[in-house]
Amino acid sequence: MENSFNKYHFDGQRSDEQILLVLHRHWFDILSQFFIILIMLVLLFGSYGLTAVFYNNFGDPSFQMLFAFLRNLFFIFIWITFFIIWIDYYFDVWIITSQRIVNIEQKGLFARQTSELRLEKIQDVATDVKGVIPTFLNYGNIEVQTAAETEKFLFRNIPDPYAVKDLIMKLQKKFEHTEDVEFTDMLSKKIHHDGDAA
Amino acid sequence: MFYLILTLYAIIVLTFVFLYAFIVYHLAKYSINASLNKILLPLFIIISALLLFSNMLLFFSVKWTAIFSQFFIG
Repeated sequence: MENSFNKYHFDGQRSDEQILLVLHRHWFDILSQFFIILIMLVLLFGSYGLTAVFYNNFGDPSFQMLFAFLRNLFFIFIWITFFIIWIDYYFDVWIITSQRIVNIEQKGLFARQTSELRLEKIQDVATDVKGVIPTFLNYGNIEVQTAAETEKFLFRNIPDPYAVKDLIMKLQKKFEHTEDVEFTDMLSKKIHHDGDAA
Repeated sequence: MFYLILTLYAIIVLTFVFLYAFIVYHLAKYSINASLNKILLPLFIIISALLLFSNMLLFFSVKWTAIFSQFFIG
């Protein structure tokens, strides 16, 4: 799992920090938005039919050119809308690293928010899968309760939330264990040092 | 009348260019997957430029005066 994210890099990533998992919202979440694109494409291709129906009124070559221009303009609009929706989806991301969880929230083209949570601050992780479609497609929310802050860290509509929860808990336990070992080492060094001095 | 249409069209084109620039900026700066970016960024720039160029060609190919005369005179 570690090697598959070697090509990934985010702003503020530390040199000793390794990306373990990159999560986007489940594809079903974007499907409803792409439905708008589909409707616009149907309208675009449907306009060819309308031109044929009203051919007697608008059969003139100057009108044909006008319709071609308008269709092209509408297609550019669809193209831009598609990318705005895709950016909103793809750049809305949760990154689990060896040290922390980073949430980059993209809201349209002009708003972007980044928040992070260090693994040692995690107190509890809860999953929430509600509804027929989320259960069937295995996606849902994860709430991470922190020790220091009252605010919850929320993963929205992510795929396979149970596996992600397991990974976060595993990392948190690993981090706790490392801290315990470091503390024990430090304590034993201190005791030996004090013993030698006496 | 043609100049009014031209002004409106210029506003539309500028809005498209502005949005194109923002999309390219996002893809170039915030993408976390470098390999996907190498494909997507040139694809977006090339197709967008072609679409805009073809749209400008079509705009100047339309016989606006003939259309206006049919609507407002004939």
